Amino acid sequence: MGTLAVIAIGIFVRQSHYDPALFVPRVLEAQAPGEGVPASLASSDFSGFVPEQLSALSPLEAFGPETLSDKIDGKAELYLAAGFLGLRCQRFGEPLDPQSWMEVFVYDMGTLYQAFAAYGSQKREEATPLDLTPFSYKTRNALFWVHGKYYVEIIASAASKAMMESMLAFGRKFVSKTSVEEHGLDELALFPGDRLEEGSIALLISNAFGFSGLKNCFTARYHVEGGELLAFLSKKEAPEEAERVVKAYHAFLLENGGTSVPLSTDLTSGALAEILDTFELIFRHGPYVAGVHEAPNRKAAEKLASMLDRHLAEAIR
Amino acid sequence: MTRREFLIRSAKAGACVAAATGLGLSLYDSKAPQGSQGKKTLVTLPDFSVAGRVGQMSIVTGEDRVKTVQRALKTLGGIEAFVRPGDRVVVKVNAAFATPPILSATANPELVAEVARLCFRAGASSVTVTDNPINDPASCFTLTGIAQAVRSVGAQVVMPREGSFKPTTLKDGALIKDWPLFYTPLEAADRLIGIAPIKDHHRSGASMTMKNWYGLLGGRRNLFHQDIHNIIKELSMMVSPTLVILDGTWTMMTNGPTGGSLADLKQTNTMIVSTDQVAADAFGATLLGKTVSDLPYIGKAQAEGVGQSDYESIKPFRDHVG
Repeated sequence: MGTLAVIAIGIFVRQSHYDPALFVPRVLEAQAPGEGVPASLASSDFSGFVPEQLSALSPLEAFGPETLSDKIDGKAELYLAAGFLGLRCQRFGEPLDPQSWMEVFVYDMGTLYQAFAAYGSQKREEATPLDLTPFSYKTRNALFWVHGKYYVEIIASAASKAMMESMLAFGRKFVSKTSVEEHGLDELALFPGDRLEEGSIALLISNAFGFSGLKNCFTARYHVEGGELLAFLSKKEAPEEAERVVKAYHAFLLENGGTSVPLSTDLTSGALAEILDTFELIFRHGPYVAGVHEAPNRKAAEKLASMLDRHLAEAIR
Repeated sequence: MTRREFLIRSAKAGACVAAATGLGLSLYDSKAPQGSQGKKTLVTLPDFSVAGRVGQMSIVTGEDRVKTVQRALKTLGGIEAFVRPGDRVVVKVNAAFATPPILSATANPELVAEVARLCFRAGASSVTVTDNPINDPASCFTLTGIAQAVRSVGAQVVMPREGSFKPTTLKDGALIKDWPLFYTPLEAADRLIGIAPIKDHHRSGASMTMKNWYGLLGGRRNLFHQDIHNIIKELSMMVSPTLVILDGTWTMMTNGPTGGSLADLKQTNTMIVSTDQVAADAFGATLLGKTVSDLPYIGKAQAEGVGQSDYESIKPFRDHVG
């Protein structure tokens, strides 16, 4: 009985010192690239594109619309608004140089148009065009391109010639080995080439210029009358719908402090408003809503709008 | 044995069995262990600010982060004005992403190491560097270079684990209610220093010292993105730091908060050290080419008395390190 009593007291004492931390899983300690990483990782969708001098440094990660912010935080909104479906990403590096590595991000945007929207909305100022695909460029440490429904970024840990060559090699293999359905955007040819800033055409999927009625709106930067202007156009199902959008956008401008200004150029359903010290011009051409956004002066807005109108007439004849 | 002796022995045995059974029942716990988060004891962060040091700010320009932060601290009385011998210091960095330091999406490792070193020089008994990153913590602290840098000066890195979070509710808060707070590193802290880069942010317009406290939240915190300016306001109400250090040496002007291209960055060569996180962010906005009105959370925090967005009114020290 004495033994039982001692055992009971021992259990009581031990139980009163319960430490929950002893019963939770440990998180792996930080590891530098190359330290403790297994020689071969699980198979990756990217394995066919990786240059032979690089090895996988991380497993393939996959994110969907619900989890995208777990990878890119607040920037997820940009992709979600453009129709994002899925992201696959993975890091690769040089085994002998732990400081040299790159991370590949492949965004499935659903369609070419949506991939182009993601691409154009964050195009960098220092972009150097590439011939990887019709929509591709590089900066000192990164590559960006559109291939069908995919928008792809490769970010390197350093701006080095070797990493750039590795990224380009990956890009070329990705493009040649990934079949896609769509290849071109017809709308791009609808913008006149005269005074167009090369590579400036972008696509706003929704809420262009803060107006919910302006969707799937292409924009392009021009240099006219000494200023920088943004031309835009959006194709609707029918001329009647385009007419409705033109009127609604003009009303939206006036509701938000704009003042209607008479047009001195002949444009179908044309309307001009002065708002916040800039000029906003909108008109219709067939089923297209078109115009000029935030022009510095009226003359420049009307000149660019006329150029756009004439070009549309030739292009869709 | 007589019948009497048998009955007496049986009674004694029965009493022992009953006693043992009673003892066992009294020790029995019908609920399984629930870990440290099982108890709903709400925690509150203490005020880490230093008395008499309200509303101080230093703005130092220069290319070298180590030199600019040293000078900025010196103009405020030195690190010794904020860290006492024996203090346990926690440095909350922005280590949100597993990106290299050149992209300036996270706190610069040299800067963090220098601050840790200065804290030790002031006599700190420990310096803990921490964050609850968005990406995998181990990758974040490694690939940003922060882990290696701070360990080289004797500081420790504490990453979140399952038992690290305790529920908290912000008094008068609408969003931070019974929400998991990354509490373990702060539990025994005497001083709290926040270090953050200046970044554009797709959702909030900017990510600076106040948004840095987002890394103290656990759970599905991305739900707060829907009310981003109010959550940043509440974070600034929840945390009263000793100091905030806002690194504008290379500012992420576009494509934040992740950036990714060196083309996203502009060399603005400015270091801000302040006891007023509202003032720090208000000045930081100017390096992004933005105003306070572009960043509603700043005005909201000021309205709650967190600090002063008119940073000139607190007469910041200004200096340059060549």
